Amino acid sequence: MDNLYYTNYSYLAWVQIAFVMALMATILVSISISKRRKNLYIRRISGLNAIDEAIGRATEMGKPVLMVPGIGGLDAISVQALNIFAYVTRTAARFANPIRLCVMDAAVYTVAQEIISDVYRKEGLQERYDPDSVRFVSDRQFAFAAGVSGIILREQTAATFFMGAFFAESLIFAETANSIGAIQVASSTQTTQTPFFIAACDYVLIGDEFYAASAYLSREPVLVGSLVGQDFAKLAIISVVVLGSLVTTVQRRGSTGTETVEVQGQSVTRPTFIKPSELVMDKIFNPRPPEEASK
Amino acid sequence: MSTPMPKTSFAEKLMAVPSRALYLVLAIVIIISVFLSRPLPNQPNPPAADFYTALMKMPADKVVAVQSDFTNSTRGESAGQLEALTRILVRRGIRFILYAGADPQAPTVATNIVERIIKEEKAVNPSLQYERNVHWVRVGNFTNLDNTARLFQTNFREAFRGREDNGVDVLGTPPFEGINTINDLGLYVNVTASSTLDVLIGRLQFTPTTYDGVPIRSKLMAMVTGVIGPEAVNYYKAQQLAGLVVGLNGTVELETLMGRGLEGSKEAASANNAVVIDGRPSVAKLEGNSVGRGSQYYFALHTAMGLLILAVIVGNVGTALQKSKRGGKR
Amino acid sequence: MRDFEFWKMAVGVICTLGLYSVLYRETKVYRFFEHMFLGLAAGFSLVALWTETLKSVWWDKMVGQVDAEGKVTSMGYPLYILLLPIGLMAYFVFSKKSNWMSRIPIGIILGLWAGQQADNWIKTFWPQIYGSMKPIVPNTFDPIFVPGGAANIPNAVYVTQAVNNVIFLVTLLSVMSYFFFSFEIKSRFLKGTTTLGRWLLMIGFGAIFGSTVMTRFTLLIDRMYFVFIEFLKTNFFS
Repeated sequence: MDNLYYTNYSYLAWVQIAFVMALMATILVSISISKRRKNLYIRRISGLNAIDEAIGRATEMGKPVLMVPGIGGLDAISVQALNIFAYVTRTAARFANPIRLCVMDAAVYTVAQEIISDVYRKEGLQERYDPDSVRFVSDRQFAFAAGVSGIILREQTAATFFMGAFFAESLIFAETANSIGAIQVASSTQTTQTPFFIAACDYVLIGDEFYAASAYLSREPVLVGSLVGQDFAKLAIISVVVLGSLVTTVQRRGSTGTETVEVQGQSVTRPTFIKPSELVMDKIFNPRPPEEASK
Repeated sequence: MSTPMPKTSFAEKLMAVPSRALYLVLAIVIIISVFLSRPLPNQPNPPAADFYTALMKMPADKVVAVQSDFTNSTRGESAGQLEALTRILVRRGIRFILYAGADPQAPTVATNIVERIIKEEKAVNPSLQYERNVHWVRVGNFTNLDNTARLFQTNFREAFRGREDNGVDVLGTPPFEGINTINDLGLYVNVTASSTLDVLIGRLQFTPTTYDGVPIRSKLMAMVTGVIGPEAVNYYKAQQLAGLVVGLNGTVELETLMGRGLEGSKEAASANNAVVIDGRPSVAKLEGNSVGRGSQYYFALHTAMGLLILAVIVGNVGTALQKSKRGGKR
Repeated sequence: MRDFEFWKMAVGVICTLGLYSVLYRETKVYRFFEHMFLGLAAGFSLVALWTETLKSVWWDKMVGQVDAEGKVTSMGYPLYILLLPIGLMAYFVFSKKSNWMSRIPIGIILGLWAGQQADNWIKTFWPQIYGSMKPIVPNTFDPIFVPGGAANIPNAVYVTQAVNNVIFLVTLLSVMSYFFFSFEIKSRFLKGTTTLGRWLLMIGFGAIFGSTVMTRFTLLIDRMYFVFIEFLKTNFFS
């Protein structure tokens, strides 16, 4: 029975559900607004300038642009990375700059090929599309790392874009490209790999900036809408945290009385303070049956 | 790329040290260090102390679920953690269920370590009774942890139906006696090197309890590598984990606590040389040898980190000198 | 005559050194060990796929189990056979004409995953939001620092704790403000918090970097310990 108390959303637990529902509703409403109004505002993050700068540099040097959409499977992250790469490819195609897109997953490979050839077709530059520019290298993490490093070294890529879910291979890529002086823009959805990119790359999109860049460049209503909706969600969470801190601070101010206790054989009189379990916020955030709440 | 310089300066010589030379120096330093390995002083932090406290305060007749998700790729950190955990469980006579939720290789890696530790413990203490399928049981791997963990939450026992260990139905073994829901477990320990901990955090919810007066908000505890440690700390801080061991440092902290015990004040610790963390409950030390893989590697880790810091300083001095020679900002 | 354990370790040592040889240069020796490593991993995965996944999760449950005395320990669920065609659909990815079928199992998996996310969000972040609500004003000023032992009063908020809490809240809020994208950051206050957020993020990343490097070193130390202590010293010098 006690197992159920905490999983059946009894007592004050409806607050949790209501809060999450509200957040989800905000995002859904934003998406539907974004579908109707095409020009929903998104701030241009400075990382986007770095993307343009990197492509410009590669064009000046006449050397290829290398892109890697992470090593994850076909999911939201790799598709968003491919959105950014479509923009990179469009710019590169206009200046007849060669591109290299290396993937580790067979499903991502198929989608990447579609997207890239589509970019060339839409630009009316089909003759510039090289089917070999999208490459499946290997599906083994470090074999893939070795393969991509080889391409970077052999083709002396002037600009490299590493965006998506990267793991232990992140530093291998970044170091290799750094060693040949390529200008690098990177982003990992894995917080633990971001520091390595920061250490070795010229510009790094941190955390959510990756999704923002993808939404900004693709103007896809679902992406733009969910980004705007998430801002409202963040605002809601910030408000809850600030409010909660203030309420907790007020509740915990001053002592509630004094008590005399036996500590290591000595009788000590000391002030008492409110217990965490008696706080309003604790009751809301840790719902439990009334008889247990009073303990 | 770079403009030719008339003469190589000291800064350029510094920056031009080939990486092979650095690898060689690192290898030599580490090899010498593993031979010269010696115990180093260590002050355990609250996450490891909570881990040890929960395990030691838990009644010995409770069962612990050990989800071991690492493979040999992170043997350096994770093996030492599982070894220390196994020693505590075996010496206290606590029964446990061993399984994995990540990699098919993980159960085999964990089983080898557990069997070796039990053998070592029996060599020291021949009267020790600790047998497979009696005191512990190996279940194997669960694929698709996202959904399996949800089944753990709704019906823990059902998730193990039909599983065998050495031809024995695991549900019939003593560790599964009286285990129906996830709250029947004493503690749930995840030894991991990947994001399986995130999956468990998002799916498992335990009823708060107290062990010997120590409040346990969630029965979930974790032993993680240094790579995912920074993320796991958030869970510990939000009391989603009852205890946390991070990386080699955490292993050494746990081994220190096993060897010395824990006290809440200096006065209390003066008699028994226990580790002091203010305000903590008193926890006994674990009889027997507590020096494990963590303490054996700790000295080498220090020398290697020392070398790294030196390399960072040299690299920065080199860059600064180069910049000042070129006479400008980058 | 050395025992099996010795030869097993010896092979492990040779493979370790073979793979580390890449630090000198990529040679045929390295290539040999790399391919052997990949081949072993692939073979192991294949066996493990059957023993750890297909057999235990699917086959055994479908056919049920009987113990040594012929007593039924668990009933079989014949309906599990229906999972087979769904699983096999994934292989249609190789067919040009009907590769749409491979999306069905992917759709099922994604659907199961997506349906759990609201609940996961609550379980993951709800306690963290609560954990962020910290008192920012101390309720006792004597002493300033958290005392140890008997002097420590339960539930008191000492000055140093309040300062810690303020630092925590400022970090949390400024880092979150850095990730607002849907409006222009014009006010000086917001500009200040986003800049502060960026600085604090960098400090955090520095800490993560250090922690990760420590892991990498430990893995190297483990290999060196294996070669030089567990193998060489134990077998030849003790």
